[in-house]
Order: sequence, then structure tokens, then C-alpha cells
Amino acid sequence: MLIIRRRVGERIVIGSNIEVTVASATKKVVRLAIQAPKGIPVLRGEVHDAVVAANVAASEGMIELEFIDDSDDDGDDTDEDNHDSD
Amino acid sequence: MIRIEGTRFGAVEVDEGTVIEFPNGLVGFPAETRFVLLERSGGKLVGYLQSLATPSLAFPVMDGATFEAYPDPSAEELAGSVGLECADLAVLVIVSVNPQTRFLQANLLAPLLVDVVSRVGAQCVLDPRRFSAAHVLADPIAVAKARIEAARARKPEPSESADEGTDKVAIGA
Repeated sequence: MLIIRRRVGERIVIGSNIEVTVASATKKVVRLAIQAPKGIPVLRGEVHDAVVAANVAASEGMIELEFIDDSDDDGDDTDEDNHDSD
Repeated sequence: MIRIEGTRFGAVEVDEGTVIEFPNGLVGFPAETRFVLLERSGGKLVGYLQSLATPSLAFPVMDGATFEAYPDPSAEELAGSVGLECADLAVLVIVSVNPQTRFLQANLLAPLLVDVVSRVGAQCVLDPRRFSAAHVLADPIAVAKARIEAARARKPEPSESADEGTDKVAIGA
């Protein structure tokens, strides 16, 4: 783990194309300006973790889903009136 | 042909051309870069996104077009932002069952974009203030009640086979 001291306005460069600039800082909050190329997602840590958790849960809960899905497939049979009454 | 010994659905054979590449994997699954979409008949689901590398790994998915004004920003804009081609984009949403409530839920926060032409995809993350990773889709208890009512409404007609479809009118209303 690398820990670097930076002042407001100073930058960190990651690889050759990701730049992180300290935009402002108070005692509790640091605002970072991040420049990354398209295709490199930049996420808040907690959002990333929430998506990981959702993905893991979805991949593990498949058997239950199978059960619920099978008991639930007559929701939309509204468009089937082809009965010719003559 | 590729043979997948999926632990969920048994062995399946799929055409190499149907493989969908996720160059960056899915979020939390960076090594899972190759999937096939196993479609299923009936039900709300589009199918299962089955990993080629890990037979036990599959994600149940449904069509993102089910949701109104979704995704936002548009699939084309999102594709641009993740460096994906956008010749013909499909949006898939991962679904799961909430372990506490047992409700069916959709991960609208992180849809899967797939360019159908190049068969390359990516998982995008939308604005967490606007989209939930656990958007509730259906209440299984309500579904069960509706089914019981539907069964009651469908009383066996004595012998008139001519007008079969007419006695299930009141179900959905």
C-alpha cells in the first residue's frame, strides 16, 4: 500500500492515463478530481461493493429463483382472443 | 461447439459464435470474461448468463426493455462511456430473490450492456441515487394469491368445449 502526501491542487498519476487531483480538503472531506480514459469505470467504494454483493447474491440464489420463476408464468395472457364465434 | 458442464442445468452444447465476451468481467468477477446466454421458455426471465470458465456460475437475467425509460443515460451513451461498440445494444438486468422478503428483485443499478453484433458486453454502474441494486419486482405471496383466484375462476365447464377461453377474463383485472 502506497501512501502519499499531497496538497490541494497537486496530482497523482496512475499508469500513463489516470490522473487524480486533490480539488479541496477540509478536516473531514477531501474532494478529488479524477481523469480516467473511457472504459475505466471510476466508482465510489461503497457503490462498487454494493454491485459486487448484488452480483454474488444473484449468482448464489439461483435455485430459489428457479422455484419462484416457475410458479409465476401466467401473468400476461391478455392478447389471445382469436375465438371465432359463429 | 462448446460443451458446458453447468452444475445448474446439466450439460449444454453451445455454438462458439454465441459466446458473449465481457473483457473486464462482471463487477466483482474480473476473471469471468466469457458467457453464453441460456434462454428459457416461459416465466419472466430472459435466461441465464452462464460462465464458460466456471460451470457453477450463472446469473439469471431479464430484458432491460421491461423497464420504462431505462437505462438512463441511454444504452448508447453508457456504451460510449465504457468503451463498448454500440451497433445493436441489448440491455440485460440481473435478477435475484431477496433472502429476507423472498421478493423477486432486479439490479437496476448495474445493468449489463451487450453489443449484439460484436457480442461484447460490459456491466455498467448507474447513479446509485436513482437506481437500486434491489428493485422489487414481484411479491410471491401476491402472486400465489392471484394464482389461487385464477384457479377458482377457472371452474371446469360442464361439456361445452366451444368457448374455452371465455371464463378466464376476470383474472388480471
